[in-house]
Amino acid sequence: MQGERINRRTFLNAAGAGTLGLLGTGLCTPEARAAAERVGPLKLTKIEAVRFRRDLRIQGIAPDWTWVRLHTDQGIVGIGESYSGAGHEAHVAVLKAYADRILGRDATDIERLWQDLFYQISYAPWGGAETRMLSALNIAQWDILGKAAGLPVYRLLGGKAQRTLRVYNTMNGWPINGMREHDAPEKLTEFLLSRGIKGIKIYPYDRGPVNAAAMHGGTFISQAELRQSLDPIQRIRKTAGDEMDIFLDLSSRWNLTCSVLIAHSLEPYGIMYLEDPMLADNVEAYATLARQTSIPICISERLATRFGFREMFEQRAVGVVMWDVTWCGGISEAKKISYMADTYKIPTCPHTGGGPVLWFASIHAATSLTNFFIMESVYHLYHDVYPHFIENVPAPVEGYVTAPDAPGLGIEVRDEPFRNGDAVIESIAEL
Amino acid sequence: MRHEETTRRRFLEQAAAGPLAALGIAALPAPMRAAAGAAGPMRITQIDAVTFRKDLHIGGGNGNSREDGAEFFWVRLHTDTGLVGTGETYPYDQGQLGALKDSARQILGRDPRDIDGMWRTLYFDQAMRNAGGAEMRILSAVNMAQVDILGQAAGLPLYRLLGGKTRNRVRVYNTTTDYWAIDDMKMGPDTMKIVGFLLDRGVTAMKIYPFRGPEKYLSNEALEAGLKWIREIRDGVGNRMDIAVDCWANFDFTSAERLAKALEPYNIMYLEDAMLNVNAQSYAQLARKTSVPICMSETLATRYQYREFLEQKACDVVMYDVTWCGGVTEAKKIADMADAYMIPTSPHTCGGPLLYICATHLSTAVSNFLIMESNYWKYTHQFPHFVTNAPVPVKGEVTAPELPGIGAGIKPEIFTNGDAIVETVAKV
Repeated sequence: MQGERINRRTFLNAAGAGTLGLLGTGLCTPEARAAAERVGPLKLTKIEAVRFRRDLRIQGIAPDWTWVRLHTDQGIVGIGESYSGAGHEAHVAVLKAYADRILGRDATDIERLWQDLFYQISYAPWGGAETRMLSALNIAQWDILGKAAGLPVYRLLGGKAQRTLRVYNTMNGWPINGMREHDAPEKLTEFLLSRGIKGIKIYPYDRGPVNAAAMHGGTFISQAELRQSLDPIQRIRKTAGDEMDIFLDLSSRWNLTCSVLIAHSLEPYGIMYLEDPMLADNVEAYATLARQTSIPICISERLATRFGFREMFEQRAVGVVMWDVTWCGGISEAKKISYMADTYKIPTCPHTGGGPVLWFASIHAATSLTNFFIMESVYHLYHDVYPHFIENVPAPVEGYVTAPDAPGLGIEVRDEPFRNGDAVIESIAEL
Repeated sequence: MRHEETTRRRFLEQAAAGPLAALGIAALPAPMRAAAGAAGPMRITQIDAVTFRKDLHIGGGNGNSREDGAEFFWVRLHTDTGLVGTGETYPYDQGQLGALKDSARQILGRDPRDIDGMWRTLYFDQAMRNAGGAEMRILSAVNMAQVDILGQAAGLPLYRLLGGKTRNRVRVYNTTTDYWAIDDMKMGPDTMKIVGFLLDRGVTAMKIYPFRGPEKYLSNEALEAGLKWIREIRDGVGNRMDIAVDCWANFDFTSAERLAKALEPYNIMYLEDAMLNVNAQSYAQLARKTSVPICMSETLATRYQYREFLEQKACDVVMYDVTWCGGVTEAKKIADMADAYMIPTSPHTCGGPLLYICATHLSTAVSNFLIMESNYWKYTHQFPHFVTNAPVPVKGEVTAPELPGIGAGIKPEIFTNGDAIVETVAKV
């Protein structure tokens, strides 16, 4: 490793002396050359976890995400994140378990650290808290590299494939000004359209008054329930016609047979995609569903790594790929999954319904994708919740959100939560 | 433990007094009658994590002192009936303690007899964000503790709850490594001494790790060095010793294929984990290209992950680890699924004593069994430090304990002498 570094430095010095000009690399911008020069070895010296007060609620939301902060010997600090509905204990414990494999490593050897940790966690069945922390560490490494290079992360990922990102708004359990998807779909539609947001994701099968999933545990759905569940969809169409795109999430509650029944009942409504009707643990079931409906199938933030997605592509089981960059193995892995999807002509729709670092990291990753479809956004989160922790939360303008141009992820974390005890720093390990 | 006895005894007395006979249950055989009644409703009232002191050294011919203690982790479920079930997973790396704390609220208050219902709850929760890792290990341990409780309540050994005896004795091979060594003997210099030691005890199969390549590439030099071990065994004792080869997922496909081809002349029992078990297509390709049976893998969990490997004909032997794969009931389902493909099972047991004993129960019950892993150092030195009933092979075979539940006979003194550290994670 030491050897490589010296080689690169020597090489760049040689480049400065004019050798590279001869090789045609003179086309490299002075800024990029300077950036590369600045990124010397960055030894990881300290790992911290940041969790939030257990009873903290921001507008009714409990911040259930865990931040990982990586410190380097150059003073640059990177931030990563993951989350689970269950709590922080497993995250913190996993970081402690793997700390000695992380400390002392060069933060900019992103691929190798990922490989080493993934191999290690694959010693037993991989996934779970280990994969979430692998994701968080990887995000923090990209943040460090960007800050060291003086470049926003999307630049390091291949630059702008699109200038700005179209978003839809996910309702789920996050009402807007008290309006919920099942009792005020007309007002919600008007509110979103007035802000230029022309996509909405709703949950008619496992929320609201019908809630057929809760009724039968996802094992059965009656014709009456199939019809009643269409109510919010019909009301949105009536309010906005085709101006509002409708996305449906089924929260993985259903078996294959019910999924087919639901898909068939939705055929006339021009649904953009049907997301996670079943758990994503049997590709054959998804391939069967995909063959039986014209609605694109979107799966799934529940999958991680290229290895988890591979069979979905091979079996033609997926119409839109969704990953969660804080779950799927990090920014590096999200990009690789999307490259793989792109070879199958399949677009990407990032999952962002978690914490603020997820929101920033998704924006950077999606900006660089050649197979970007549309991105999830949650008004309640970026408008009400994230600003409690972050100074510069990107908010959609006319239905589009744009990546920040500051180095790294460009996140300006507020001091206030650390002063008033909302955020608690826990030292995991230090060199 | 005293509570269990009292409860069961009291029940049997009541049963004898007649009220059950009036319900027609008298028609059932006496042991089943006792079982069904004794296993009445109960509630999980307390969850303990049991870890072991870090400086514990067991000794006994282990070649590497870093691996000389307890690398496993226990979950104890207490119930309002006084019954206590113990489950296990490993390695103890703190991750599972955190995961246990995070999932405690899903476990506490539940009836431990609702085994599939609890499994579904815990599995669904983790599958919502990629199942596996620490959460899967905890699910496995909780499931094991539940079946332990059910067995105790029913007064039946675990294998009886899994379908009873398909075989009386379970054939084992010895996993032979430098760190869990037999009397400090090492493969290479002591190969034939080890082989002789095992054959003398009737153990006629061994698993070895002969191949190390630089990175994922297996050099010709490394390949030849590994084959030398195998030739030495074959030259020395012919086919009296069955040989399994494990690779710890070290190689890429290209090297795995060369390795399998090179092993073909040696009648290898199976080739295990030549690559990471993350791509069934690559394994299917390997299986098509070689006559050496392909075994995989304790690194997979749940029927859902094994499915593609079975469908794609990517393995010839199914290995599962009952403390990783989702627990005792999931291991049984995986084995039953493999049986539908005529594929036998070979359980992984190089963890703690409860893993070893539960794998013995399962191997006693399942219809598709090949051979079970065992390790001499573990069953002669490590396991007896913690439990009294870890079976020691006789003529190369082990038998499951006949006590209710797992029947490990956890030694009470480990909780008083400082070896075991009990942390109550949650309590009603």
